[in-house]
Amino acid sequence: MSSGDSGPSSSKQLVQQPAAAGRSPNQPPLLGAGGRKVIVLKSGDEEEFEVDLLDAMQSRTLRRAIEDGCGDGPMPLPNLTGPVLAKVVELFRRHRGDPRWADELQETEKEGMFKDYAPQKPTAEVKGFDREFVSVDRDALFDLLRAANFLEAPGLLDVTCDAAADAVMNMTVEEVREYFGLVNDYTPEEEAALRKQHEWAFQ
Amino acid sequence: MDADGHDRISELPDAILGCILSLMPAKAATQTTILSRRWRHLWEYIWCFATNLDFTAEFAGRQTPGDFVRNVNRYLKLHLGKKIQRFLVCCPRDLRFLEDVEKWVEFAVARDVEEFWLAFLAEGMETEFWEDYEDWVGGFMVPHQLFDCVPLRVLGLSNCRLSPFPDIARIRSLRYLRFLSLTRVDVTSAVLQSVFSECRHLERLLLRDCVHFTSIRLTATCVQLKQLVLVDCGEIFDLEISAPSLQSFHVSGDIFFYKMLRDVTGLTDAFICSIDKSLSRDRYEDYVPLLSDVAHVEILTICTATLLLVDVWLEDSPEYPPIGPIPLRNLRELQLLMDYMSMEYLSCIYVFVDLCPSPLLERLFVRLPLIPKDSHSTEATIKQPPDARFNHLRLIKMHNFRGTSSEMKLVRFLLEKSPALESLVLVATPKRSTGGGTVDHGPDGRPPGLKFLEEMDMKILRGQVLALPRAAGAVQIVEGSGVIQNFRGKKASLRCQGISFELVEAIISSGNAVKGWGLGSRWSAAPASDPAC
Repeated sequence: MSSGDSGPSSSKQLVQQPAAAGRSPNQPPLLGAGGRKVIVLKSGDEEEFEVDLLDAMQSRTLRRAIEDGCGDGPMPLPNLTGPVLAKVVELFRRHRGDPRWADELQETEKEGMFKDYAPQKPTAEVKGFDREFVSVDRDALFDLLRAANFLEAPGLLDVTCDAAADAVMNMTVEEVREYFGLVNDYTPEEEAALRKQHEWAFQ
Repeated sequence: MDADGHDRISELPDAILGCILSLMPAKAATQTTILSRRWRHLWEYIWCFATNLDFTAEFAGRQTPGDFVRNVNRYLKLHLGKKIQRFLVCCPRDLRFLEDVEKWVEFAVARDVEEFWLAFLAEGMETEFWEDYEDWVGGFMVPHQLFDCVPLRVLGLSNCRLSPFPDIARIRSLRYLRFLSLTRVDVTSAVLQSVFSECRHLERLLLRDCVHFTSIRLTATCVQLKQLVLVDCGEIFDLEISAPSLQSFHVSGDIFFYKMLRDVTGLTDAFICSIDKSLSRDRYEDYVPLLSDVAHVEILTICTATLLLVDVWLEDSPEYPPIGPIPLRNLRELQLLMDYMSMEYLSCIYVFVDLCPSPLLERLFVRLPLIPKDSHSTEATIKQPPDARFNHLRLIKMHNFRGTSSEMKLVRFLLEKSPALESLVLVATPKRSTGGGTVDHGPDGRPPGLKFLEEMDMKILRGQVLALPRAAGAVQIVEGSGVIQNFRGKKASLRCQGISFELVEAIISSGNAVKGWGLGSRWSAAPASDPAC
């Protein structure tokens, strides 16, 4: 269930993609008329986290898994560590009803699952949480970015990409290389040619 | 590289990197092409689904016109989206590129653009449009496809030709237009009337340097119009405004149409200013009658031209029919743009205060000239301060304050007459000692000695101001250092003063005074700056 390389995409684009494409109409609804369901996520280092089923739906990857009937036992997520998963689960909880994934929610709304889940604008509190959420060092931020990519969670993706963009926005080229741990593998001639080609951006 | 020998972020798929890049400004994102081979084409993601395409000054940079046009074409080719929000372009003034411009318009219209700005650059052109408009508009025709773009909400055109207009009925397609801005465009009275009758949602209209129309008839049909800005439209002889919806009316430059405001009962904000700071009376003499028509506003901005004319109009004078005093009964905020300041101009302020009493005034902003002209030769003509009181005045802010004798006298007068005053903010002149730019280099960029002298100056000034008698017990006197950064810092603490405060700052920081454009900040929907360069 790797996301693979989904091609050119912005976060908005991700939100607008149709959700739960594989679901056939005669499958029974995931939730009965009763209360909320909780699923268990298991990190690569064997830590288990309970998460509200509706919160987990913020991840397209998890949603697909749940819809395929994998939601009954602990769901293994081998490429996420415990600390990363803990943060992600917390973000899902705080982003409950966040408009950043409300579009997807409405898709599922037809199935009557999310009646008590009206989307709302992110409150100052959520925004504050988001800021706090990404106040981490570079390596931790990259872990979260990878998690966002694997989980295909638009809210998480937005928050982490925003932080990464903010971090590098005012850096020099050298600083950006340093930040991303890149090695300049261009020849000086190639680099000069690129600078010339995109002259406006380097003025 | 990290311990495992991998590029840390290279493990992320391109989609994620593209997502990060798409959140960066185009320029910064494009620079990432030279990070490494892997990043060579990643920046292209930003154009794939971009909804805000800005090909104005920053993009143009120092590119040659040919490179500019080629680059715009190249980036538009990368675009895969079906919808764009904004398209802004400043096109080089070269008829060879008209075909490209047409394609850009087609591109934008096909993607249901909602905000479109097209400006042809005007470098090296005569500044007097009205003398030379054929050259100005030249063959730079606005592609007519634009007039079929139904989703268009905001349209701005500069230095280009509209006529011959193919079919005025096409304007009907622009019925959702909310903001129309035309600068040096040969818009005619007929087209304008058609805009008024068809664009029922039009809320803001800005006309600058447009000389091909002689009449504006704004009647109740255009029920939505909230703001009308006329800058240097000196050919209008026939202005009729009967629009109770109008909230804001800004006029700069010559006017010849006074007494045509039939119904502007909804007006809350008026701006009446000269542009070139010339003080020839015959050019601006109608400012005072205009002022009397808009005397019910809550926010008023006037400049020295009006101040100079107030006494000749309102006091007995053989030259002009007397109007008598103009009480500004609703005025809450007054902005004085002083192109000059001296004892003589101080007298004008006194006369204005006397003849245009504004008992409810709460906020006063005075922008003093950058270059002072404090004369002592005209002592004889100085008027005595009038016996006015500003019982509601809470905030006074003066920009470019130097503490010259006329300025100090004005401060003294205001302090004495304002028993409810809460704060007096004096912002010193921006110092240009560290270089040519108007954007300051920050307090640390200046030689320490100079900084010390400035601080001493401010201290002395502060002492003098503090020593003045005050009507109010506790006036907070804040002095800005004139460094723009500090100036902005002050803004945060005074944000409660609201939009008009921002307005003054916009004028100051844009550095080009009363050009109409700084006014955009009163209206959040407007672009912050003039994309028309």
